[in-house]
Amino acid sequence: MATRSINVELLLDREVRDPSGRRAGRIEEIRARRDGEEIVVESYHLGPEALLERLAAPVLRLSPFRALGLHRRAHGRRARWDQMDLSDPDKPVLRCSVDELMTLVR
Amino acid sequence: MKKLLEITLGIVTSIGGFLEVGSLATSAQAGAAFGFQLIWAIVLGTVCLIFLVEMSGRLAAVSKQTLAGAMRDRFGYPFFLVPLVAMSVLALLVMASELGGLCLALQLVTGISFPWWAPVGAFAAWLLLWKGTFSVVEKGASLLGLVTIVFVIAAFKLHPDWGRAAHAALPSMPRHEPMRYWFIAVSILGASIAPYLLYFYSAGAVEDKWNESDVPVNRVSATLGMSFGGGLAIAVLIVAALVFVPRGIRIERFDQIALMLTSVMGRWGFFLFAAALGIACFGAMLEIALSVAYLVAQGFGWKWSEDARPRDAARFSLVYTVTLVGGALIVMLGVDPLAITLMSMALTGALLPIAIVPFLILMNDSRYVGKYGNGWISNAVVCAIVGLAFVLAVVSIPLEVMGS
Amino acid sequence: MEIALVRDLLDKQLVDRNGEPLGRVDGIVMSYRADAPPRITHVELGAQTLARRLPGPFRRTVAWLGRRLSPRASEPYRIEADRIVHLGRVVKIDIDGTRSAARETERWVRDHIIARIPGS
Repeated sequence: MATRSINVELLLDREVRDPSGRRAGRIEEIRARRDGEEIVVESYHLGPEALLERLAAPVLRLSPFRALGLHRRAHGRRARWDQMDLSDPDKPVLRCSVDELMTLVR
Repeated sequence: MKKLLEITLGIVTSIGGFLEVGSLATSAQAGAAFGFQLIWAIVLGTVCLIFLVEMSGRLAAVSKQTLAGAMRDRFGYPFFLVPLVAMSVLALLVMASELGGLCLALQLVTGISFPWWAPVGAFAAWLLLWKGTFSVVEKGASLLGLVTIVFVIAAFKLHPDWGRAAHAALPSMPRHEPMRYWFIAVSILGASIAPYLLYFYSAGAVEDKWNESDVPVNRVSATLGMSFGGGLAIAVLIVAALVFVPRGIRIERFDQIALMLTSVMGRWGFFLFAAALGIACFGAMLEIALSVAYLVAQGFGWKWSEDARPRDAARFSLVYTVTLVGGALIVMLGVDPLAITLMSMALTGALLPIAIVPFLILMNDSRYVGKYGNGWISNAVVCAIVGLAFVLAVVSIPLEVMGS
Repeated sequence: MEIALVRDLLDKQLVDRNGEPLGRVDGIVMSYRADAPPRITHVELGAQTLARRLPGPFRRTVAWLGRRLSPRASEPYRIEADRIVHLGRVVKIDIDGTRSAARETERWVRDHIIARIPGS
């Protein structure tokens, strides 16, 4: 199987869909593990799709807004490395359905 | 004892750095046009600045990162370009204003027309940055800046109605020319809340290797220093009000402001005004050039250090050089210095959210400020005042531009 | 040790063995295979890397600027991931930066511009 070089920073914000075309979210963070000298990718965190929602999240966490309870709406999903198909880095696709992804609570 | 000395020095350097052409021009305009009425704008601007300066020191002390560096660190590269470009362009305009002020001061004293002074002034500032260290720059310019106390002396000599002045610390609606009133109000806010000060202050704190134990001292020196600075601006406003209003003088040109002190102090007043203006502007030029260099160098991870020789921080030195040259070019184009000063102050008000929102997020992120995060008061006060400045700017700038 | 690549590595300040700044992590290169976990192989620096992170029209302008301002900006500069010594407030790299290619632009500016001005 061929290996390819992918620039991780270009994956950010890319919309991820599952094989049936349903939206899973946008790649927000990539978790890895350091094993001795190797850094190995473990999972991809997919975040809310709306750009405004993502930009607003840290702002809403500020104390004047926290009182209004606006900060709790953020949600996300985690895709393990083997659940993500990056053969076309511009169009990441899940190898499973959206429902099989673990949900993350912020 | 050492702490006391540190606090005093901190306060003194804060005062000296506060009054520059923006505060001077906007306060003088406010006094001449509306008497004491706009004192509340100076109060609000100063209060907001106190919070912001204290925050920038605290960020540096706890995270050991500068504001610019922390912004790139936390928000990443494409986002960082927005404050980088906006604040750099703004700083260039403010730099041109300050250089214009310096040139005017030199013109007043020598009679030589002011665009000729632009390359001279810019070169002098550049030389000081090239050969000097951070301490020399910061403390030297600020100690000399104490000459601005002459405005406080003048204010007292005019025996103002202090009760009326205190009353004006509360916001009030304009009784005439509302658009001009709000435009000057937002210019005052923009002159007080200068973002370049924050980049400069946090870089200094990191270069001086502050840590958590410096947080309380920083709180005191930021509060007292910026308060005294605000007091200076109020003094300028009071003097302008008492000198220009009775004579029915509207400030249309920069050199009219120079008359402020002559009626109170005679010939001495004239020279003292020129000295105060020149020194204050010179100090501001140094801070602005360094702030842009800090923004760029820290944002891209280059070596940045005012203490280092230029060859050891090559790109950093290049950036402040280019900034000074850029400011000089703008002044030599012959742009009206008063107009560019007022407009850049108002524009600052409009662009404040770009600088302040990321800053506030950092100040509430425990990964950067640990246990020293902002309380809700800090967040609320800054949000409110910056929000006000933004709204005023968006409303009044277009109308002012259309009106003139 | 768990790492979040965006939070802990991307855009962080890089310092060399001597604590001197090397630049910032402008990009991270991973080696992708379908049947094994991807491995991070390099961190990447440079104007080209930064330009590619921008949307369309900006990318072209920044890339053009980068080529004009950096003499050797055709290739991004890569540092092998196994040279990363420590990830914390800054990322420590086991390199002596004085001769490293990461500092090439800095050296160029120093030699061609700064050094020509007296008193530097």
